[in-house]
Amino acid sequence: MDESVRATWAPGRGGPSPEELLMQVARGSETAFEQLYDVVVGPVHGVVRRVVRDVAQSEEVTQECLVDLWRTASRYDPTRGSAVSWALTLAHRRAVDRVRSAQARADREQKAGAMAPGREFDEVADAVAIRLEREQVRRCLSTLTELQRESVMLAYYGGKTYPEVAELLKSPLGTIKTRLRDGLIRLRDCMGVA
Amino acid sequence: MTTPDVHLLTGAYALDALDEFERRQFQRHLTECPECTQEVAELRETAGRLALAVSEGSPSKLKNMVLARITGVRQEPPLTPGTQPRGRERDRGALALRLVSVAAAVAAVVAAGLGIVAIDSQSQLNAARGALTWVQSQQNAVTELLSAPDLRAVPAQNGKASVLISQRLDRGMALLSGMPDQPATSTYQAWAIVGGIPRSIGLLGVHGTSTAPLIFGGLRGVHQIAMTVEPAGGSVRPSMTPVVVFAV
Repeated sequence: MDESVRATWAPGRGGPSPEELLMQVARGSETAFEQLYDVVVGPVHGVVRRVVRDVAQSEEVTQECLVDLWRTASRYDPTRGSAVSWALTLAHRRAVDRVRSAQARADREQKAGAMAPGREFDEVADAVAIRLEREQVRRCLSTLTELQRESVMLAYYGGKTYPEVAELLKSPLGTIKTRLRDGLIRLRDCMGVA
Repeated sequence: MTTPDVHLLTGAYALDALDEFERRQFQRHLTECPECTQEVAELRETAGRLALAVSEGSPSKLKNMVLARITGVRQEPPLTPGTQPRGRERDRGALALRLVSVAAAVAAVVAAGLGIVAIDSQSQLNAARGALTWVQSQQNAVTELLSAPDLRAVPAQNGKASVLISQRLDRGMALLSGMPDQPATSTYQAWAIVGGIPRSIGLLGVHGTSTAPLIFGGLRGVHQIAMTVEPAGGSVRPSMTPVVVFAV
């Protein structure tokens, strides 16, 4: 991770890094947890809100994610990536689990799923029109092809599986699988994530 | 690394865009593919930037609630070498993707089993238990077959369904993947052909469960597996020419 990003993710210059905090959390430090909470709660809550939508449910999921962060801190392996990314992976996973189990329940209760006409279009337009707070992310996303960008945004912010993305974008499965990967690779290179 | 196709799933995996079974399948692949593991780490880091871009303030009461909650939550112990998930899985070449679709099929069976767990009576509860037991036994049979060292895909002479067999286990599995659903009045039926005589090995796609695998045993002497469309409930003898034939 480049220094500028690390600096913005850390609580303050000279303070312990999120990685150090997380390792202290793993050893049971509640003080470190409180500091780490302040670092990650914004993006955790943001991504959960994007995926889950419902305000009350989002708060519930955010809360679960953060308790999970405490509970599973010892499983963090610093050689596998940054602490913030680890927390955000956990949060996205939780949010996606929540919407998919709710979806499965809804499908069971109302067999045909009652897809309102126009909903598919709305989901795509909606995912792509997200207001992004970071100039770098906006700029890098604009270097993607339209299909790459739509696929990545539907999967990440929409919490869709790649077959669902394929369905929404009327594209073959294999194409979407590939676009998700090459889209992310292009983003990675643009953002200088190594 | 088994096939380039599996490797392509790094992006979908990093974005949580795989269903549960494909995800587990890919995680198993990761244990033997250091390049994929590295790529997934980088792509997750990248996805993290997408989260950062939608960062949002959270209610301050949330912090107090979380801090209060963790005091009552026991932390998990670290993973030690003994508890690491084992990474020894044999290379399966072109079969890998097929296994992914089999896993998805099992997922569908499990989902179908769980689907009826909306319980308001004892008999429904018993039915749900029965379904779950069946799902589990089916899943165990599938798992056992998928880990057979001599598992191979039998090429279809026409049609899109799949048959996988293990001579060593004397067992096989048939999947409808890609075949059209039958209406409630008819069903697919699979036949083992021994010395030119068809023996029924079971029904597929009953009640629209077109993704559920059919497990069958007794491969000795079988030189073809065929599938026909039969009236609901199946037939004693095939009543039409097969829609798909597999040469074992």
